Amino acid sequence: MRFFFRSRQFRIIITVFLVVLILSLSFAFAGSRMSPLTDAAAIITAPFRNAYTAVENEVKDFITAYKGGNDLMVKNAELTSELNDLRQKVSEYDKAKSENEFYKNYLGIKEENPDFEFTPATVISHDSLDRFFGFTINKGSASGVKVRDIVISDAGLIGMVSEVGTTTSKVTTILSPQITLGALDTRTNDSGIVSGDTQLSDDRLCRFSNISRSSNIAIGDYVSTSGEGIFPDGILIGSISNIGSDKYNASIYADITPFVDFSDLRNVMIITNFDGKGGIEPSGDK
Amino acid sequence: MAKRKYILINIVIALLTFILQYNSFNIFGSLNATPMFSLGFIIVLSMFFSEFNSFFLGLLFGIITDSVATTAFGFNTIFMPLICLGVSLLSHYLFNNNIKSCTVISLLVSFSYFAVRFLIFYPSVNAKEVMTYLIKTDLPSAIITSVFSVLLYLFEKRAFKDVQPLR
Repeated sequence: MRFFFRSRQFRIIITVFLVVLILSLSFAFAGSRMSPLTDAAAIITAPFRNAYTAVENEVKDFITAYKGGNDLMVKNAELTSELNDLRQKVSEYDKAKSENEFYKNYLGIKEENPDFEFTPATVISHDSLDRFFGFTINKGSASGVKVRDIVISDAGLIGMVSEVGTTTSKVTTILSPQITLGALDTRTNDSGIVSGDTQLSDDRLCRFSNISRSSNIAIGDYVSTSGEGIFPDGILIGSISNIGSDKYNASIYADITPFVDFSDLRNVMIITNFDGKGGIEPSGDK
Repeated sequence: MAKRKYILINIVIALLTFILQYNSFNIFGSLNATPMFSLGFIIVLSMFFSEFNSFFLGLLFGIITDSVATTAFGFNTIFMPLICLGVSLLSHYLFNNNIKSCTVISLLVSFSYFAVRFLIFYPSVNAKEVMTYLIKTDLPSAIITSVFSVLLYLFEKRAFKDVQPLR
């Protein structure tokens, strides 16, 4: 063994390792970018992953169709789309109703968000070792995607971009404790903070905390982003499934069931720009 | 076995490990396990390859894994070459190259890899959550990974004896 440690091969190994280490860390800490080696590997393997994902989706669809019948699948898709529309309408109605009363007396009526700029993306791989259901999408800096861009689906908020390559990006979901965002109950307008939790993530839930004890939130209420920090307001997150008190009884918390099914994501939308982007950076972010 | 055939078979096995690893089917979800077959694959190959070749094998797999996984700052690019180098040194200088050492090495390395990954990427967890993760998820994942490693070892030992390509 001593002979190996004194050999030229060992010196080459040390040199290569130090170069790779410095390269990876400098790109990571200077903007959460993938290192050039990883980026190149992502570009080279992207066609294979796209092909594999297409095959995987076909297999999943076949299995679903075999189990439930094609008709049921079509009907389910129609009903799910209708349900998402209705949820959005209920949320907008509740919000509009309370905003109308509040802003009529004190401020102007808030406008809708025609300022959002979207980029569609497809999920090309899921990381089974990531207990928070993180995944990789097929859009990167070449398509205008940047770190901390918000990722949504037609069902609601998914998370944000955590690392960007040239043609791919990695997404961290709201189930991860690394993401915290301001949120509010769309019915009562009570605000709090939504963040992931390592224990709740097993049940695919996240935590809505720091809610005032005088609030009137109830199970079944919808929760949406409040516009604080880097997340724009008005994006649905999920519904309240459980309510409890923190250990000091100073505030209450709620468990949220996200509307998004993180295990079956295929197509997502990235919000690359909106008015007011570039707010306070979230805590705990890498 | 011809050298070319040996290399081709190992490339196919490597592709299969990535396909098994990075899909959304969650095959071992009922066991609460998330085994890493690509890790098992490079552990076994490192037991046969030289230290120099093992390091670069780990580097190649680390780069590809980082392009697919949701880990950040090139975690696998940094750790996988070290893992392969360490396994190669252990199996050539400290342990005998047999099925028992393969079982022990793959179990220990897999368990340590999952634990280090968890502690680095989820630093806000408390001690109770760490212990729960180690017992409920890490251990089953390491066991399944090492079962795969042992099965692969049996094939590689037979094939490598005929070929001796990269030692």
